[in-house]
Amino acid sequence: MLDEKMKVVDNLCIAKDTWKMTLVGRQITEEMKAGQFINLQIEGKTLRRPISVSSFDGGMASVTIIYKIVGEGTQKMSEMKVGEEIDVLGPLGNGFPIEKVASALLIGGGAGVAPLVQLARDLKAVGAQVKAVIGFPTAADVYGVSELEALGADVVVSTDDGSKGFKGNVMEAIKDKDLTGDVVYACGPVPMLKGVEGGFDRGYISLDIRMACGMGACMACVVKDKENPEKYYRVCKEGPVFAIGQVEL
Amino acid sequence: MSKDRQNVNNDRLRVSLPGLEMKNPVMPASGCFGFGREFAELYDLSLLGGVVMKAATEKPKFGNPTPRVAETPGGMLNAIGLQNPGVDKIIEREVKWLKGFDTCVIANVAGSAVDDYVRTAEKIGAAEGIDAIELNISCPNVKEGGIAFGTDAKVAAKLTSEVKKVSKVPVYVKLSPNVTDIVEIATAVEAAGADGLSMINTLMGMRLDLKTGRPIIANKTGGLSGPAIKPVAVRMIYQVYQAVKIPIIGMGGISASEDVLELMYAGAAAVAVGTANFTDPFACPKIIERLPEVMDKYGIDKIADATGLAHRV
Repeated sequence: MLDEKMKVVDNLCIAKDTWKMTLVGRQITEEMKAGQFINLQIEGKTLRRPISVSSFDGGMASVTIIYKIVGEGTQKMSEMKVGEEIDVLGPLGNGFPIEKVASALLIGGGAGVAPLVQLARDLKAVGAQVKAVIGFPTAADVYGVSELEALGADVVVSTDDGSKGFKGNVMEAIKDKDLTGDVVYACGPVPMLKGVEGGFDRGYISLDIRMACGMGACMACVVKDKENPEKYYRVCKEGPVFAIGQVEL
Repeated sequence: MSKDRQNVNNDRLRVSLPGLEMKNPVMPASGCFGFGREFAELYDLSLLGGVVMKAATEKPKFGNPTPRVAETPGGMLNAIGLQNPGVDKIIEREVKWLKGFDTCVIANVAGSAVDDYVRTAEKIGAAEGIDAIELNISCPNVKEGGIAFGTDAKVAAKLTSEVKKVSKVPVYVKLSPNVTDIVEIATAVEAAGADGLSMINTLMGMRLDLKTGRPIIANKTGGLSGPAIKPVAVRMIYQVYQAVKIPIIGMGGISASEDVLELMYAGAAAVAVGTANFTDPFACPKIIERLPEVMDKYGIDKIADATGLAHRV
């Protein structure tokens, strides 16, 4: 975990209320893994904004995040100009374990599509065939297709209203197209993750939850173990990635 | 952080309170720092005047459902619910570990009834490495105990005297601002034998989600902290300082060295920094580093001289 001043080198709108920002730092990418997150200090805001890493480039010490404008903090982020500096804490959390498998199925919903980009790259690097099913409310919300396809992933898009790709949610798309993999990786809203846990035994889910410190100290973001009610995990520290069936959703 | 090192042995910053000989008056507040392990990855905890540990209860406590936090203008609400691994594990793992740093260690003790408060205080007060107890009678986020002990002067005094009977270390009673007259509670616990006061805990608040119409925090209400509550802390410390002789550890919205001075002027002998640790994990060492410069600006030679200055001018 490092605290770095990073420079905004890119910040643009890629879908409805969805922005992509690239930051350049010094060492923050050295230990970074797919599925980890960074915690950004926003001027005038008490709490940092934890945003998952969409992709990173170790050689350039650059990190790309994809974030949705949901309130004042993310609105302020969208107004940041190229060249501005932002205080970043990271990398945080555990990240996705990269399994050496023949095929992997990546499932993303909304903002949860973002971290699948680096994940697809890392899985490709170990020789896995990568399929990605990504779901959004409507065509205007869709992003990530070109990034995932550029990495050689087969991409299926679903929208709730059918305005782009399959009409329905990601689980319905998976069923309809009979998609599978040796291991699944999922990131998205809790109902989607519950669907993933209902459909697959082997794989990982990544959780999105309100945090305060983002580094394991404040106990704001805890989840309970599914088997042992006495056991709990801090999503920011022991998570955000958990094995399917590990935590109470 | 090389400059911080110079401040470690800066005599101007030393403060002395019952059980606490501190190299500077700044410590992280209970609940905002865990047991320090995460922050120790970022800086040397020996830079701190002290560490106030996350609350300890007799048995392990999971706390409240999530969401447990929500941002507010100039601060945040939290309703963690005193999640902690229980006093035995805290002594075994955390106190032993914190002992390795050259800093004061204060144990925050919470409970649901007089009996478990007393047993927890007795145990942790006897643990090697604990310099003082902060008696938490002001947590607004638990159904039993907590604030119920901090809003009635007689109940607060009774608990204080029972804990004082068993504690091997000085006891600082942490007061709630959610009362009509904080001076009444402060004088009652002083009369009951408290060695010092710690104030203020969070102010009870609530936020609603406009989409759902429901409270954002699962517990419905939470404790408000952060810069927004600093004026309340200053006012309450000012009032209590006039009425008691025991020292006050001041907290509530400190995020800069200037805020340390302000709470000390009001009457604090030392301070704790809470929510600011979330905004900037280096908040405490940065505040300590800049303190001499701010003291120079306002003509304060020794930081201890700042305590209660507002009452002498």
